[in-house]
Amino acid sequence: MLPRALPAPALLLCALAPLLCGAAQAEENPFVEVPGAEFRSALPAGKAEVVPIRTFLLQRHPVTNGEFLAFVTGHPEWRRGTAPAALTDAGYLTDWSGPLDPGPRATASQPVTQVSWFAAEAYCEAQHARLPDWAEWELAAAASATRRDARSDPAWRQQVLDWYARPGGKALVAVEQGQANVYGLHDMHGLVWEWVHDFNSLLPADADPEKFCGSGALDVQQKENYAVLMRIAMLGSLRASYTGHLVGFRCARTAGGSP
Amino acid sequence: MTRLRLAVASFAFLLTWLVGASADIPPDSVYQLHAQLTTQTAASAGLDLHRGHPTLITMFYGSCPAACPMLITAMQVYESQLDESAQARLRVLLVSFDAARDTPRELDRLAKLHHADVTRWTFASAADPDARRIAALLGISYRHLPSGEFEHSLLITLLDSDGRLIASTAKLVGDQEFQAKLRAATELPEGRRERPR
Amino acid sequence: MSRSMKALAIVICTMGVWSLAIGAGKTPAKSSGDLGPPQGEPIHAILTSPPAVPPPIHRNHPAKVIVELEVREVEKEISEGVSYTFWTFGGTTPGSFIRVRQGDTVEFHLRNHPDSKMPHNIDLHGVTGPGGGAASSFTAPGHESQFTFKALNQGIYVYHCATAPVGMHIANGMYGLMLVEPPEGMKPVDHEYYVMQGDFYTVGKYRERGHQDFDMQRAIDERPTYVLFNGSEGSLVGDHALQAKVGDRVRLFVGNGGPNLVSSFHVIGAIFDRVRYEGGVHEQENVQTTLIPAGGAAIVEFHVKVPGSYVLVDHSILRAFNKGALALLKAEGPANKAIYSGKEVDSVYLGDKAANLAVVSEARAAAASGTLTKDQQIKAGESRFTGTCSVCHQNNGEGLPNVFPPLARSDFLMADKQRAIGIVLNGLSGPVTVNGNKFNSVMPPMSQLNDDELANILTYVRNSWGNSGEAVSADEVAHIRSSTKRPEGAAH
Repeated sequence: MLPRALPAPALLLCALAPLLCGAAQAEENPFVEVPGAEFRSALPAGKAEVVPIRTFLLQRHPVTNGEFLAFVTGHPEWRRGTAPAALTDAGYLTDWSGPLDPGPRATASQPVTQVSWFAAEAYCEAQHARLPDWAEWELAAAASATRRDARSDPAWRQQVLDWYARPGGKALVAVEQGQANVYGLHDMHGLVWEWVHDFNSLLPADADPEKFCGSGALDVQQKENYAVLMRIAMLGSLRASYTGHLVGFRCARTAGGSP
Repeated sequence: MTRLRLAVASFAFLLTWLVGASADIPPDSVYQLHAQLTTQTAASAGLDLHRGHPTLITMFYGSCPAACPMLITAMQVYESQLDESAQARLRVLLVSFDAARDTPRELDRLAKLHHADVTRWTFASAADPDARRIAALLGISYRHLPSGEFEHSLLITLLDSDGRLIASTAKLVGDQEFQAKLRAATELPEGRRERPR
Repeated sequence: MSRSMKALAIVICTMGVWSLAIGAGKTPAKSSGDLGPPQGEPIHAILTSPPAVPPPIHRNHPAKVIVELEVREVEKEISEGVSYTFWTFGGTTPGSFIRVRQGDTVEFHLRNHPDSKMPHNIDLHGVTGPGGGAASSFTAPGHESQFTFKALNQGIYVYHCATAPVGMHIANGMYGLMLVEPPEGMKPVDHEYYVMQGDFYTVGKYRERGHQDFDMQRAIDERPTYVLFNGSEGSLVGDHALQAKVGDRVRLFVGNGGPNLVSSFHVIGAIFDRVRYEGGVHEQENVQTTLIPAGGAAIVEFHVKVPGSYVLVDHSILRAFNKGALALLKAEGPANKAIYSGKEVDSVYLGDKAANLAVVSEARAAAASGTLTKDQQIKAGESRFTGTCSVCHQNNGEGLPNVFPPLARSDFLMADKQRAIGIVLNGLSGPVTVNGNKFNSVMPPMSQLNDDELANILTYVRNSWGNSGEAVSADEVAHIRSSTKRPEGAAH
């Protein structure tokens, strides 16, 4: 997905670069397999209580500044200053010192933030990948270091809530500083909020704009699972062009090759 | 023409096209999104197929039992409040997020069912991820349920001839402010209108 | 019916209908009404941090009022040595006080600081409209929302964040008050203050030091750790106590943010001359204690007739003394023995609140930097001893013959330092012999005192009234605390 600036011949030239870049980045942030399951999602899918999720691949940690720098190096249309206003907001990569220079406040191993959903989608597409769906993300995030579904574990919940409770002004730490969960994924909690592909499908889709979306509780199973509820509220407050100091992402792939 | 001249001309043309293309679409226009649509005539088109005209744009799906027919009728009602010359300037684009079922034939059937003027109304569908991206851009939420139904919000958006957002409404009936903006966008010739913010 | 009876009946019925009609049309004060479009230049509302209240409005026409309120997530002290992450409107709990006039058109800007972790919104109980504004103000970090409403109803209204999970947002301090003045304004008083009660739920126990996290299960079970006025223990005591002079008329805007508890609001030593109970248009007079529902507010007024400390409490009284629901209004001026002749209220009710906080802070700072001296400990210990231990053992350490053992020149006390620490932590009952005299009373555990406080008190006691001994360190206290069991019901 590129803005309509580059014609076909240029595209052809650029086609090779991602393959090379993608290969290098694959080593830095490999895709880890998350086995499929019949999953009791916090968001009911119609009348269904469980949703079947197919096995998929998810990157081990959130995309870092270093990884994103490689992307904007090869994709000038996504650099700060050139990225279109319709697909970003005024906060796009403002932590960086320059359009191609993350600088001291955004080290290579910190997760990239201040990126809009469109930018995240473009990045993942360039890696022959995609953003994970909410259900996939929820499945992967339900795990603790030892269990696949730790959502009923009060200690797990408290740990997630503890991060929510700390103020956000501090500098972000590098990725993979803590323990991986049972799938081998790092930083599913405690570092940044992460974009998902269908973030605009989470809250009750109501024709009446006057009905406030803030609760999410109207349509949610497991109301006691506040850790998940708050993530839904957070994603529900965002628009696709928004950027946030604590909003990053990681990419996913469908098992079996293609995105 | 000699080969050299041809090469130079082609290069110049390419360069102009490059520069021209990037300078054309304003940075805050929704047409900055490159998305693939399939229309009721089975043609491939981008989101900007009605560029050059003020456009009403929305999203729906064909098997929608009640809300979407109401949505289409609502758009026709807003359109009908305009005088003839204004209507002639207006374009309407309805994008379905159900590419699987809303094939060109199905879209064509819907267009006929609603007696749409197909010279100005386009029924199209988009596949994921394009459908998701268009919805995100317009601020429309939708969920695909296992039953095949979609849960979605209703929003009619008015774009200027360059794809910049002028106004939106979720009111199917009686949004006077929206109607006024629609009138303003379609009544006067392009050059004489103030740039919308 | 006879003719005269019929006539009488008609007259009575007519009078009845007539008075009903009048009664229906008449209300003690206008409670609702659209007073027309805004006039004049837009006004930027003055917002104040508690306990201050913006000045009364002197305007005789509706205006457009612009309110700009910022949400910030801040780490602050909830009790001495205990920090907590508050989510705030305007940087404080409760949030900034908003004051407008009935009929005003309010253009409300809600900003969410970019460093916020959470999205937030606002539900103002004084707004007529969906969600009280919550619909239109859901704001992501680093963004701003705007909506406009007309303040149709006069009154004192709670506002709070309504983002899921609402209970957590409120429990973290996201509430405040908005006053919509009646068109004719409010009667002038000498002082107006802003006080708001809230219940807080932490993982750790009451006054357990360090950073405390919110405990969702406790919140659901409605077992608060703290019940506080204005978001922190001691927010309105000592140097921060409310002030008044004898003869002043005081008006308190009292809110209750909850999230769970109802308040039985009482000011010890005062009777409310007037209470606009529930913030409505009717007033009750001559009230001792008034109920303020969670998510509600009231306006109370009273005259200060004698000097002294007036103690604001939630009269579910263990909340006041064991969870912190306590605030002070200090009134100065000439005594009036005809009305009240007795001692200050302080020393009986406040316990360690009467402490000289300066020496305590000095000792704490010294301890933190590793330079604490025995002398500092003795001074800080004396400050804490007064009002807590002195209640039984007396200020001169003599105790009460046959009832409470002396500490002055006490052989029992000075014989065993570790035992002394254990007794203060865990209490003591059963027979003891001190200086040859037998005692058999109950000393309650004082484990709610922190390690430093306890160490300082014991150092003071062991070096006063003829006693002379080594200082006691916080580490020694911590060691005994962790190696012995607290009795049932004692604090940590």
